Amino acid sequence: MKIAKLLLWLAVAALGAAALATIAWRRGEAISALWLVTAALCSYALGYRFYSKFLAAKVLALDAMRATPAERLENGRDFMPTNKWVVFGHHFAAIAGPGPLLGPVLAAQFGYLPGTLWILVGAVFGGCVQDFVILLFSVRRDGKSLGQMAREEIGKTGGTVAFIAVMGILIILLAVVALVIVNALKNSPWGVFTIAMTIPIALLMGVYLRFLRPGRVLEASSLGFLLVVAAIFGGQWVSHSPGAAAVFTLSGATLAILIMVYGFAASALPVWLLLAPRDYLSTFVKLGTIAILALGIVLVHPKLQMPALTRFVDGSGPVFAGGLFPFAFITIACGAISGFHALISSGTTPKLIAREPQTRMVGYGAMMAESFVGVMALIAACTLQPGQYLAVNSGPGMVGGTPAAAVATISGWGFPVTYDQMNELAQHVGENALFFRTGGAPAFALGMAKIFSDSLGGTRVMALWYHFAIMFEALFILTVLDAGTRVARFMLQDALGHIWAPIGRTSWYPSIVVTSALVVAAWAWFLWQGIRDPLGGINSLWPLFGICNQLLATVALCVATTIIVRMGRARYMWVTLAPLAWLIAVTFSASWHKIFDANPLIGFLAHARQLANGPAGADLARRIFNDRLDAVVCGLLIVLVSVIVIESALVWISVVSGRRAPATQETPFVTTRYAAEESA
Amino acid sequence: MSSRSGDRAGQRSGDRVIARDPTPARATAARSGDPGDREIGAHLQQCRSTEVSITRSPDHPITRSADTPAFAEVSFWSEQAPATVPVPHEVGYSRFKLSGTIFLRSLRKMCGVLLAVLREIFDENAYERFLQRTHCTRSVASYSSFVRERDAGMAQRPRCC
Repeated sequence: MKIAKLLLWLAVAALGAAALATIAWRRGEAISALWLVTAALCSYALGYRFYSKFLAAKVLALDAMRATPAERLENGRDFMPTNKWVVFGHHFAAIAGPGPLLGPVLAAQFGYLPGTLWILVGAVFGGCVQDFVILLFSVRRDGKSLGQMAREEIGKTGGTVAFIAVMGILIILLAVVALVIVNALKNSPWGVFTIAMTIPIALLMGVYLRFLRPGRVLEASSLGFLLVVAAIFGGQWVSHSPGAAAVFTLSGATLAILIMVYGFAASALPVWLLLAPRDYLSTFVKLGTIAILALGIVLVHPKLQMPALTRFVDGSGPVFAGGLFPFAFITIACGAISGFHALISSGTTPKLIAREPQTRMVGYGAMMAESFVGVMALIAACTLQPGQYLAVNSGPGMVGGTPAAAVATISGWGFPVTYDQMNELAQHVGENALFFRTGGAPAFALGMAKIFSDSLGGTRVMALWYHFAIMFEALFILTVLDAGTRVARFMLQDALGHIWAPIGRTSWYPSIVVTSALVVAAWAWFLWQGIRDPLGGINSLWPLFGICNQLLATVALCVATTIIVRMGRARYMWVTLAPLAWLIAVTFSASWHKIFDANPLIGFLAHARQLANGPAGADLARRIFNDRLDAVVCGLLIVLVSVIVIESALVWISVVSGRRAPATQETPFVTTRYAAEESA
Repeated sequence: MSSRSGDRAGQRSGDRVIARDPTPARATAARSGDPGDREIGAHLQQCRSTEVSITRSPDHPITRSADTPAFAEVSFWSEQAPATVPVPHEVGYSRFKLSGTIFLRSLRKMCGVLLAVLREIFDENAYERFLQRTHCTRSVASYSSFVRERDAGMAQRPRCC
């Protein structure tokens, strides 16, 4: 039996190695997407079976006899021992957002190889480890948050830095996702109508849940889903009706203003009316669509049209400027390692874990599933013809300003594309044009529509699939937008409450209005800057967001390493120290490039200088100020994280050198009552 | 679990009210000046005065019998054949039938877990726990109380990028 198991794992390793070799070495011909799927599944299987088991047994010493907070503090509300599969699903639903879909699509400009390798290696040795370790440490500390753990284990600065990093991420994240949605919907009456309809649908669901069938969320979500599908068909009618199409054809600036108004309303309205039903609806669509996409890829096993590596690894890419190192590693965050996950792993999930060993499956396993979503998004982007991918994803300032100039520039790079091809593609998906749709969402929707229409219905239904995909992404993004604005508002109220107590009262309406307005104004600033940016906005905002997210992961890994050292297991600190060192190298060098790089397409200050030395324009002063503000934000985050890294390192050195006794803030051991039940 | 260590742990965790008082809504209502909280508290008191029994389902992860651990392991692959099914020795058909039975049981269990996952994600289980805790029945009023209690948590629940 032992030999059979050994042979099985050897076979898995050999298959994974063969798949990776095919991905890495095959040049000049299109490979099947199934190689990526095989490589991913084998890597996850090996990582879970061996590496996570090593972490669980040797590093963390998971203890099945230790009662978890869900058991000790069970209250039927937040703390509740729950079936491990249920917690797994719950955790996955919380960590799977638009990030793993958009990041890999943008990073596909480097080719499929760098993104695939980073997603697999980053997840197995970085992201999964971070989620697993932070989840377990939170479980051993009564479900405390990352900020609380940072404050207790590292020092007061840790908590402050975590707070500022989270606020920074939230603000920039909200601006980025709002920009993505604007770029996906501008001049698209079909898309605008469908997304606009999700607001009354969510309101209807809210009323249904509260007054008609209290608490029947699955039922209401199914109903909402049917209505959304009807809205997609309605959008087709709108796009074909000249009168209605004119009403729903909106410019980027108009859409941006509408989204700001929406963000403010969603933050100030009661949760049950808009936020909660939209959250349910979005989750419902998300889980279903991810499952369908996985099935579609396995059934169709499309060929990857994108080469393994493109010429843009040198940093001259039109989707976003910057070399493979470090920019590929901050562009793909959620699929490989994301600091945001540490917030979820120290949020609701640790309060549901019934037995300590389950943290392995929930923390490590759910991140593997998330990483697989990233691989699927990469596949969807790489099934497009490279020329079409670049024409959709490049900002006008990067490829010439007009569609004719764009096709000439892109074809000149060796990725042939014609205006007619783009026109035909736009007609297939029911759009007026597909040029300069930066942000990744339209490219992902195109890839998804191609995969879906190849397996079901052909090009006749491609438009429906495309708008289904756009609706799916926009629903995701609007959920992040309204929930994020609200979370940021709560954090701001909490912080300002220390200065003036009444503003900390979350139910006091003047406080709600003022803090909501402040939060919306903050992300709206960056959004407006992105809308007016001739380079497409994503070029500057996505790297900034990636830097923020990876800096939060740096904070999380500092906390994790410190706890491991303080547990007296310094010999195993490399499990978190290695990804931490990599992230420090990536984020610090990316920040350095974004601030000081001499190339104006990369460096904020160089761009400001270029603008200052160029011809005078109407909004020149504002654009120069924006660049300098971006540089200051980036620099400030780096300084704060440097402080926490240094503070953590001092703790490690003092413990390792024996100047301080290893001790942590764990809750005292209590034997689980389930152990007695098991032995009985 | 209301041991002293649990209380201390709760105080440290920042979930003070939750840890000290098993009926957090009532505790919150008592301490807070918020009229909304007082309303919940009044509603919950009303619910408690009319003891309504909760129907327990043996398969449901939340409402199963109290003596069954709520977190009971679910194993799809090591499912044993039920004792009532005769173990086949000679007949291939019986063997096929047995594996079919096991398959169907596993499938049913998988569907059950999937439904439980969905019910947890969509807060239906949370509402059931609320009903169980407060001895209320499913109604517009009890759902309003549940939503009020859950509002802050819902709004602060982070959603990943």
